[in-house]
Amino acid sequence: MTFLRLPVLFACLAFPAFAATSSSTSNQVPEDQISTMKTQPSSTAQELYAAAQNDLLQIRVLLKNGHSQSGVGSGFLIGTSNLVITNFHVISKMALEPETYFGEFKDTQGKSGEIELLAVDVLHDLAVVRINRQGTGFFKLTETPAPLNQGEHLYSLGNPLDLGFFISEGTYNGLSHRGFSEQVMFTGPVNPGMSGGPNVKADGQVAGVNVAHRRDGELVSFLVPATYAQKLFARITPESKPPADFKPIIGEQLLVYQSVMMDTLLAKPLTHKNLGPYSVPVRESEQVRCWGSSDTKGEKTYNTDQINCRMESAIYVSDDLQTGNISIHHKFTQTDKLNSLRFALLMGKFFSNRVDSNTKDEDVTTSRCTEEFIGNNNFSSRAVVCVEAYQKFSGLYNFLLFTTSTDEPLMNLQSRLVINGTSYENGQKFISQFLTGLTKETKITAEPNNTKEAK
Amino acid sequence: MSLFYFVEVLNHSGELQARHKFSELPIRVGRSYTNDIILDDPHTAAEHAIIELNANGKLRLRDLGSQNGLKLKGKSHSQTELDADTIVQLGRTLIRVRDSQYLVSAEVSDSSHKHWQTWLMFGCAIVMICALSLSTSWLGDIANNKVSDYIMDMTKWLMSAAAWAGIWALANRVFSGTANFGRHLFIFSCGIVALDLLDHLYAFLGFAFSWEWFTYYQSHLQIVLVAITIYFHLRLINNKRAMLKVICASLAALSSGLIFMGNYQSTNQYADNLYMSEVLPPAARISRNHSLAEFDQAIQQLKTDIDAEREKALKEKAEKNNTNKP
Repeated sequence: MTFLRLPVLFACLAFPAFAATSSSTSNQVPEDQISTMKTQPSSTAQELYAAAQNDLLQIRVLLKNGHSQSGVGSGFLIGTSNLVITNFHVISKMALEPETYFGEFKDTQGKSGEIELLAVDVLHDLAVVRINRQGTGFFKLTETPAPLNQGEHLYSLGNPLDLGFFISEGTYNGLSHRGFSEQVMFTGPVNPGMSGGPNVKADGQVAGVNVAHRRDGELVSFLVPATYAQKLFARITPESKPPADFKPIIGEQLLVYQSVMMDTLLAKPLTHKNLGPYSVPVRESEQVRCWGSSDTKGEKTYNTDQINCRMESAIYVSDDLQTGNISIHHKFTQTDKLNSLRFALLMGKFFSNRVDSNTKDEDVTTSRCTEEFIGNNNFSSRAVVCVEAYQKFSGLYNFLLFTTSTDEPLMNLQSRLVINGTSYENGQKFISQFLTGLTKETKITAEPNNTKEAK
Repeated sequence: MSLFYFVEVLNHSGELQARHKFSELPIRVGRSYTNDIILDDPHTAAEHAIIELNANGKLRLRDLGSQNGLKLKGKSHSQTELDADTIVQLGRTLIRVRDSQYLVSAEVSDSSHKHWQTWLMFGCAIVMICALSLSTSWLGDIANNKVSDYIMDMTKWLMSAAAWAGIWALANRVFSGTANFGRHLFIFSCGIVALDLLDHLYAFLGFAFSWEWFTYYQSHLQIVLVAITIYFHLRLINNKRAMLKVICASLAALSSGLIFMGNYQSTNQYADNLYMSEVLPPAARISRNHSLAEFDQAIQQLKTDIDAEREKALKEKAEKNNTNKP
């Protein structure tokens, strides 16, 4: 998933199953069909743009020193107020480093002016800024928006790639529940720079706010549902003053988010999968997807089976800090060609260089680790837990747990659990559940064959 | 028996460069060709100094009004009494005067540096390096390597060993005449075998007894071993043992200090590793396993550490910001 703010382009998450299909389908679209699509815009879009253009803005974040722009997105005036909705990720630098960055808007006539950041909603990637002029009343946010039907036409507006103001047409395709906050799926082009721009029905009723698109797909775009924008907007009164420091507010929101996330993840006991004699915990849900892979090449002296579970969403805080996600990885290795010493040394190599700790990191502290040989019924392993604390937000931590089994001479299970942006208590709780879930079948050790070393 | 006087010109390492024999005093020293000893040193005067007997009948060196004078252990003197071990600096030339009554030290026995010993050491070194190379390749062999792979590996090891010993042998040849290649090779192979054994030893201690801190500071033990190896190389070249010990020890201390500094810079900790990554077969486990509850307790304790770390980082940042402001 890619956020739509220039000039930073995020690397998309590796997603092999989708990547393979996307290239083949895009090649099948005939050239002439594309050109007809381009040359005949619907008259609705034409009328809509004419009516909306006065309330459509480009939001720019500039360096105080030198006035060069460091990020560009879009925004729109709500009703007849002087308040503008945009994405948090467009103005995140203003919120986190107000001493270095400031923002300004530019409208479709080319006029520009200062913006004042009033409120942020990090979880839904929304922000409200105030400008020095009123809207014409075209973009409407209502408390109870009319439900959308799949296939309904929607229009996204914004300033993609800093080229100029665009309107693009597409269809509504339901809600995505892959993150812990739902997003509208929109089949239409939404490009970097359109972030924070409105997505509306033909009558100006706001359906959502442009936020992201899938790089490995075609025209698969995501919107923040209008209801969250409405809720944030409703909190602001004409007397609202911008807070002096956004960091505690963001930290508070991240803490609320992590408790929702961890409660959901820990609500049910973890599911178990078998890898050799081991039973390993995974969390498979709408938000966390698991993929398996196996490597059994003939010329190798060992083979591996892996299970990889990951959340596809993360909370954007800044370019260097995306948080609020977990991943689980299990790697089972066995050999019938190596002896136990050589196999163990190979496993030691797999187990090394797992922690990347750096004092130069502005966002998190260096890691602190604790390690132990642990035994849980008949499963014994070596476990390492490393923790990093967030420097800007108090009470938030990154946890990294990795283990290697130490009970079988010719089999090994290495597991890794990464929890980013959680409270200490929740991280500890998840780790404890995860470790409890790592078990081994009893009957395997009873067989004499497996305890002998292969030559 | 008549008395002879020997004036010896030395180089800066104290080694003899020239010896002049005189049967009578005084002896005149300087750059001009009227002297008894003619110096080729531009920092000496034409008539620099004279060696004569003083009122007590002792040998004396007297300055003849030169610009750079006479220096004894760095201090200037206009004249100085000479005994058999006094080394005087004239300009940049060092001289020592002895007479024929000087008693030389006892004969040194020629038990060391025997021919067969050198060949034995050379042979041992080759065997050790081959054994080390074979064991290392075998332990790291995860792709069913063929015999030729092992031989190629061994060749690489032998060539590196020869290159290392060759450099020392060259230095040995330059500074003390003989190359001593076999001995240098032996010293190197002992050093490298010790390093490898140490590597396995702390992996074993760490894994078997859960003594992780062995692996945290492994680089310092390695430095000590390297320093010892280099000490033996240097000792073979030069016999000034006390000084070599000081040099090697201080170099080792310096390297250790640099490693501590580097580790602290990258992780805010002095240890080389944040955790122990060595894994050995289950049979090598000796200490007991801890329960999940105990581990949970350890994670709980880690919170104090990480919170302190955050406090420290924030404090450092605040200080930095303050100093940046004019």
